[in-house]
Amino acid sequence: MYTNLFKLCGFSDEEIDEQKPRIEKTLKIIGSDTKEMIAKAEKNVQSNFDCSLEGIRMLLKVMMKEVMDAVLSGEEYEKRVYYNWPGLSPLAQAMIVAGRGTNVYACLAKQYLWMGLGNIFDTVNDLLDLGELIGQTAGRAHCPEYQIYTALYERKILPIPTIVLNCGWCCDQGPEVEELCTKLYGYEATYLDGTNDWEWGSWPNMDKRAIEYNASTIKASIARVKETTGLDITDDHIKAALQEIMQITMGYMTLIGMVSKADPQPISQADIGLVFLIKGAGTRYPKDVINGINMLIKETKQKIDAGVGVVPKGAPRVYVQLRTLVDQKPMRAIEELGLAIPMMMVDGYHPYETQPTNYPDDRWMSLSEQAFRKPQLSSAEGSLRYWEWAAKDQKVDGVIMMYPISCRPFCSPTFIGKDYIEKSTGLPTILVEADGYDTRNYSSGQIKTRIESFAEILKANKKLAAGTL
Amino acid sequence: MLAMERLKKHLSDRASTLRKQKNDGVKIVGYTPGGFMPEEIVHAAGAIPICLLKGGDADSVIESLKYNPRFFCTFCKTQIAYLMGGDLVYNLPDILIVPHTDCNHKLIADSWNYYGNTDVLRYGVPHNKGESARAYFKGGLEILKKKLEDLTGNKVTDEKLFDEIQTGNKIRSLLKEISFARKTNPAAISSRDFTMLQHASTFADKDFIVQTLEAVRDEINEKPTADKNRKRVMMIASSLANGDNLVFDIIENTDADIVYEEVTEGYRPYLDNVEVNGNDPIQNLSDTYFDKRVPAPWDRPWGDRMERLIEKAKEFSCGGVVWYQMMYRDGFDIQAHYFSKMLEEQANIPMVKIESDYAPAEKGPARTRIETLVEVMSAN
Repeated sequence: MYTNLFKLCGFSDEEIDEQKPRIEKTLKIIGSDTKEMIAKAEKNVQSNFDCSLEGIRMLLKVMMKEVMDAVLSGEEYEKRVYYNWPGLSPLAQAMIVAGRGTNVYACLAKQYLWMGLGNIFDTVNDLLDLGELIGQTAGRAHCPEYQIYTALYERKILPIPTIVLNCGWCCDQGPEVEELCTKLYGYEATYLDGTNDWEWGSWPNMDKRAIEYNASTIKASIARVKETTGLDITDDHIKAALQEIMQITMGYMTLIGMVSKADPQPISQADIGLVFLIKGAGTRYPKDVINGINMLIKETKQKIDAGVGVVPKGAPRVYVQLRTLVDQKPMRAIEELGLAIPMMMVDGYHPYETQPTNYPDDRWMSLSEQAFRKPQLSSAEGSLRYWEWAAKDQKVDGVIMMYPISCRPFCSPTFIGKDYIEKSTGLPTILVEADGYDTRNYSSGQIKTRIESFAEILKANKKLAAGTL
Repeated sequence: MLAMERLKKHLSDRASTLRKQKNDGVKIVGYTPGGFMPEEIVHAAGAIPICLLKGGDADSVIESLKYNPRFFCTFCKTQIAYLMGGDLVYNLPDILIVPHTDCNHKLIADSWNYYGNTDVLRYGVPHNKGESARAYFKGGLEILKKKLEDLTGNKVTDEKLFDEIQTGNKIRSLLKEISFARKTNPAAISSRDFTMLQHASTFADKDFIVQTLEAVRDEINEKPTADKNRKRVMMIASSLANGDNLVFDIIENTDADIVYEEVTEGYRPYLDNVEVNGNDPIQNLSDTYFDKRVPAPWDRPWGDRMERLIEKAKEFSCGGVVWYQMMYRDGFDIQAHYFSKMLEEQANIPMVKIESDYAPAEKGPARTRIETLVEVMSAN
């Protein structure tokens, strides 16, 4: 029943056979153990990703393995520690590294569940409906990621953890829901705390006082994780984690560099989205991820060499401010309008982000500083400067300021951003409502319709500039 | 009450008085509500603090959509509309102080920075009460002090601060005395009038407000005790703006009175005074403004907020709770889910949640809900 789905996700017959008990338990727990649900998943995963690419299948396999590990961690591990983003990839990966070979499951379980249940199984809407009944009222722009999270506990899909390390550096809703869940489901949480009080004009020189406070909450949280689970995150774990992250990030940067420079755009941003998701979450299978990315790079190069692409050669280029996360269809919809997307969201690194740290002798302060130099995590003013840089650096013809209605940190500066980009670059900019996790708030069809006339303007502008109109 | 009438007159003239003072060189310091901005430091610097607290009208919501997405706390998102709409009070400040509690207040600061011409100072309000959090908040107050010294050219001395703390304590003590009079006599002062006093205490001349509070205190002590059959209600609010009368307009037409309020934004916290001894007045201010107060729903962990609210409901013999929150204020909506169950289980007190985006159409459903609460209280 599920063989074809798992083959689409890169599993061999032998692996499917070997993993049969785990696969069947997982499918039952997530409620996708019927023919209809499997057929829906097969259709869904292929509408999100180009499964003919081997690199994509290799990465989907990682996602599927992470989903199974998360769901079965209740019976396969004695203790569980979850890291809940948004936040600090090196810390999350260090936790994963520290947990290897122990009886502690350490991972970003929530993230892999919404990734897999959204992009593969297409079952998150049902969870969103449930989450809305548990303190996150419908129609009130509650974070759908956390609505899903609450429902995962309620449905017993996600085992109750020993402790959760939750990041409240740039997000209020995450820790607020975490508090509710600790009360409802009986576990402990520890928080990375921050107040995002960076002065306007200060980015990227992040205030030392704030960096110290943010870093102090990492230290306190790590100590609490050790007390509750015995998981001791050492310097060696952090070094190993940084190496793994570096390799994945380098691969990702190579891939988006190739895509942004190529004309025509060789592969869809929907497929790049898969790499983005795994890179952002951290992984228990870093080697598999690196191999998958390398394969995707190889396949992308073949397409570039062959001159084939997902948009016509010479298509107008747009920067898109948001990736939808539980389905990738909006990116395909934009590309179907004949618009190339060289870069999205926070893909690129502004030169300021890569400056050397001011705190080389303090790992946690250094990581805090690095995290907050990503302006979308800290400063509206920094975001404006990032968007301006991205638009100019990528020589785009327009900006699609797509914003997530249910994420206050991310949607906050977007109206200001439209005004600023238009004034600072003169580029046509359009605001489009969407969402990262809740497909009930948008559809790729609606987005396509909304952007259609904008695309025509960009094409006409391009012809006008070339004197061919 | 005579004192209230005098206060209304004072408030109606206040903006033009402040404009004259500003023209004479006095610095006006605006700040966002929440109780994290010690007015004592502003006064000690020789400036005048005013809390920007307008709200309650649908037009400001519509106007705000020009500047920001709509998915933010109704009160917070409308603040830019008053500035850009030319509101006299909102255009008075030489600087806006924004203690950052959550994304909604960050939006106020960002909007004023981008669209306005007023200088903005932010300082963070950490979300726990640990040692490093306390130190961080105190550090924010030190920055505020320095900024105000630079703005006014006046040195904020410890002596001046302790003097201002004494005045602040007088205001807090009087507000507490007036509020707590409702324990025994719900007719002592209506919630609408107490809210007016609260709002006025952040806008009126400080000596005038002390005199007014003393006069009100004296007047209410002479008031006859209310009908004992009237129901007693506690209101818990996320933000209660000056002009937001939705709950008052409804409850005043029932046989219930609001006899205690916990208002996170819009009330000056008055349960605890600031220590007047010692050699570090900023530390004393930090202790009271950050530590000794009912935690907010954005705190993590939630701390003893809910236990303290239940304790107050019992202390004031409340038979029901109106939980009033702004639309899109996530933390309040999330906590309401758990608190209503806790309130029912631990105190057998029913609660209704009212949510507002300042839309006139909300009044009907809100009336039904509040009237139902009062009926349930009668049945209990």
